[in-house]
Amino acid sequence: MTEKLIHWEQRESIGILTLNNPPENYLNEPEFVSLAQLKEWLMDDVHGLIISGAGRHFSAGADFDKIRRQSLNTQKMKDSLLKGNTLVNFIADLELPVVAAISGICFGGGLEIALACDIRICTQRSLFAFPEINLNLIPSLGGLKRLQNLCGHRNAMEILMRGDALNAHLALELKIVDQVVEGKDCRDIAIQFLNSLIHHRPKKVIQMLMRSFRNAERLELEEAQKKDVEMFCELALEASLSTKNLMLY
Amino acid sequence: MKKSSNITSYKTLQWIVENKTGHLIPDQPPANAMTAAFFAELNDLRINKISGSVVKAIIIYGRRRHFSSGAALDELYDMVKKETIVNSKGTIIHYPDSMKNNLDVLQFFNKLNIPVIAAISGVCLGSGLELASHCHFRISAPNAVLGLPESSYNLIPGLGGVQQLLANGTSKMNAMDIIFKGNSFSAIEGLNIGIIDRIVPKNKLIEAAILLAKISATEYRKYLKHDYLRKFDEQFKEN
Repeated sequence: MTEKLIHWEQRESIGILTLNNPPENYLNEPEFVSLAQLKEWLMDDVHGLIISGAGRHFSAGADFDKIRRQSLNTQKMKDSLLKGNTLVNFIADLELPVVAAISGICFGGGLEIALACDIRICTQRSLFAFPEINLNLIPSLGGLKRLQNLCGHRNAMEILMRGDALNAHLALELKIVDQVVEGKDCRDIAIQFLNSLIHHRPKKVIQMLMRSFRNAERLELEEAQKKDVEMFCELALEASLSTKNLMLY
Repeated sequence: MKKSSNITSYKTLQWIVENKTGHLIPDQPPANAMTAAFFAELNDLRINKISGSVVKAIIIYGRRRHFSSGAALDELYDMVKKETIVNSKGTIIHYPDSMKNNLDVLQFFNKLNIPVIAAISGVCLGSGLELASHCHFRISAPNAVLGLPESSYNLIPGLGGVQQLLANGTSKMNAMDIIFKGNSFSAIEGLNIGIIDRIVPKNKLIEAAILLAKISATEYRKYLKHDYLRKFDEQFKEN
């Protein structure tokens, strides 16, 4: 059932995951795509991932009417959210570059998905918000922490507590997005950018670089640097043992 | 190693103390490649000359045209092959001490309580840029060529460059861009992405470094980096 609401396409070594429930692309449930299915898709020679929404908007997040109905079964709801967190954490931990291509509305759970990506590229007319507070709820897919890591405690507090929407330029200023582009759609630009990063790079090098970037976020500086030395040595050993020590473009 | 009052000459670098500022000058033509000899001498320098020294600041610049072209890859591969221990399953069980020590040396400069300033001209690539990134300030001549080309060799920056770049304020997107692509970029692009702090005319590079050293050495770490740079801007313009 969820497969219909998610569209997967692979273009060369880029996987493109599209939230496919237009126009708002509400997340059907917190585990908006089956983790097992996503892992299967990624097992092929996928070296980078794009996440975007079908049509005008990225995602307006959860369908709150549905949540209200589901909330009667607390345990079921909790399990559902835990699965959602596992999925979003998987995306955040993935050792491949993940780029969110955002246009239009990116609210709530949708924003939480975007925040789990490595890079966020958006159109000029995009809007970002955590509207949960307006319904006396809170984001529950790791959005709070990820937002804080990007824009700092004070800005995160203001965004979460006011529930107001931010435009693309404010989001850029607050480092919630990395790039704002002109036009109605930024999917092609995102794909182009991702491709420029991973083009012709062996998967192992890509994974190690992403691990290095992850470590930068998770570990103390010196510890992360030590891990970089180890990864370097592993790659250097492979390179030194391979028959062609040629510079690869 | 020759020593006369304030000059210490190694084979690949010089250390000159002048007006309480230490000048660390890589000097191994053609482009100051960071060979094993260089790292050994840099390590010796930090243990025997810098630790316990009375210098109030350190500036690092290449003797001639370039800062550094980075590691000598062939030598590096040989070292890795020699020093890495792999078990029967092919898993690495011991990583080269040389590499760990080299990182230690760079981290030493980063952790010093006196300002360390890289003055960049010519090429500043790979571990050369990693050395510069571990410094507290980076000023550059306009035509410097910077880069982290390791990915072109199916490697990653091996001396903590990724972390240091991010810690110095380069955004994740820009860092991913230059590291994944491995392309060289100019001083101005470096300035735009937060790697270079100031661009100064090539013929004033050392003078600028000395000035910045003098400014930041006064009550170092009492103020923010950009405060020292602002003061530098005021005083440098006057000249």
